[in-house]
Amino acid sequence: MNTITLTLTSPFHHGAGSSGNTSILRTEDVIQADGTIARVPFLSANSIRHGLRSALAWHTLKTIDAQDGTLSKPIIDLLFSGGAISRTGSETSLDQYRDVEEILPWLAMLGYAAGSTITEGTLRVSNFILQCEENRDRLTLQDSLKRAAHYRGETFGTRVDQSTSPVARFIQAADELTGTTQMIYSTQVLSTGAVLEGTVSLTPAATPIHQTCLDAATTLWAPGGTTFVGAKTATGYGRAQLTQSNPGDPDALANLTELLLAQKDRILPLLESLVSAK
Amino acid sequence: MSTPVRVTATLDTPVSGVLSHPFMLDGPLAWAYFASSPERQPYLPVDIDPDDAPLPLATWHMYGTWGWCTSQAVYEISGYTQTEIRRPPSDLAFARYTTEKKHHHGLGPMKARDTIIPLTIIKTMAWDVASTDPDALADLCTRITHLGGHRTIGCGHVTRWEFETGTPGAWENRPMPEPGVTGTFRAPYHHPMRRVTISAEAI
Repeated sequence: MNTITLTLTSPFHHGAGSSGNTSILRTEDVIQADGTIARVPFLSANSIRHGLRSALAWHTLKTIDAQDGTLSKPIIDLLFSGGAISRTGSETSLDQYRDVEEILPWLAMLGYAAGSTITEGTLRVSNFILQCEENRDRLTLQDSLKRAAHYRGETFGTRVDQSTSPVARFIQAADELTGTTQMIYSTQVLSTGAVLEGTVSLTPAATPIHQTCLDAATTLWAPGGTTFVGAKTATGYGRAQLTQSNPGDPDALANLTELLLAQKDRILPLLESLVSAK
Repeated sequence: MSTPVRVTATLDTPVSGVLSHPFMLDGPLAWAYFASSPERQPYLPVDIDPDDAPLPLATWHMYGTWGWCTSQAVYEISGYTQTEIRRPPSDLAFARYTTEKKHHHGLGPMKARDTIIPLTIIKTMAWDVASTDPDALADLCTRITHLGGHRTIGCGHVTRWEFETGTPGAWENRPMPEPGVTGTFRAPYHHPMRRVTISAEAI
């Protein structure tokens, strides 16, 4: 098992909808020793899994030199989102699963849906929980913890109204507008410096190549130990420094790349057969 | 010859899908056996009778069927909560690698989804079993890291397994076959070929 800590180096937002102009931070219920329930911000396991899957999908398509405009939507959906059930029936193809293990093992590691079957992966990811007093019983580090509220904050942004700027001369109706429609919006965040902690592990059903895929995915997801998590990452939110209790094989990414290149001619036919409705 | 054992799992995340039916320990034990076995199958074809794992539990036989001597899980619910699973379509990759003109976020199998999963907060779950090999039982249990559904996102995470001397016969706290009843009495419980109907005239 690999315990990962993410130390935030910019504000972090993981959304649970909005109230007015404010984006609300997602929380989970945590039972306290006195029986009360605390609502504590966290980063969902599903979000981490998507980060790993997306990193592997991009790496695969770039490694096999997939050309723009040459794939179908179900193939992209299978690679980036895990696919969908595409037919009814009770027959499952064990041969096809063996092919996935041999040709594109990271898909088997993460799990996928194809044909009439959902195939469980061997990867287990926990929610990444805030290092705070409310989570004390579930943390590896239990010193100097503060209440979750200590780590919460709010940022704001402004959506500039161009009708009041020099750009307005290009807007046909600018003269007709009275007043500004400039909008201020705010975002609930975890502050820079807060630490999120979670685990990534494989079940006993995992093969050695699954471990290689997981190590490679971690490297792709956090190159140089830095990654972006949660929402609004395009505007700088959620940058985090990653530390691992059990860093994987440093050669894993090279090994996975070598495997993908060796299977290059078989990957797209495999994906086509997986999403086939027949 | 079997030994009564009380098995207790301590959990640190909410559990999914255990309230709707009695939760016997032979389900996770069989999974743990096959997960680390060369005979492992990623999924079980529904039209083939599944194998039985050689579990370190005594067996009971009744009305022509049989099962493992394990009670259903006993637990106290601390609270109810939920989690969301979001599935945004990969529009960027769709645009780059396909020639499709549009992608509809509200229709079809590739639509955007935000699924709410109901969860139950349970601190400990306990089972009474009759074990033929308590050491092997402990070994199998420690391979089980999660219980219930949605395990891939960390639901039902087990932090500790504990074993103590149990009460003889306590494993009988579970559904048992009765004349005229249809049920599933041993793992894999979800498999359609495990369902058996006991004749109303059975003795």
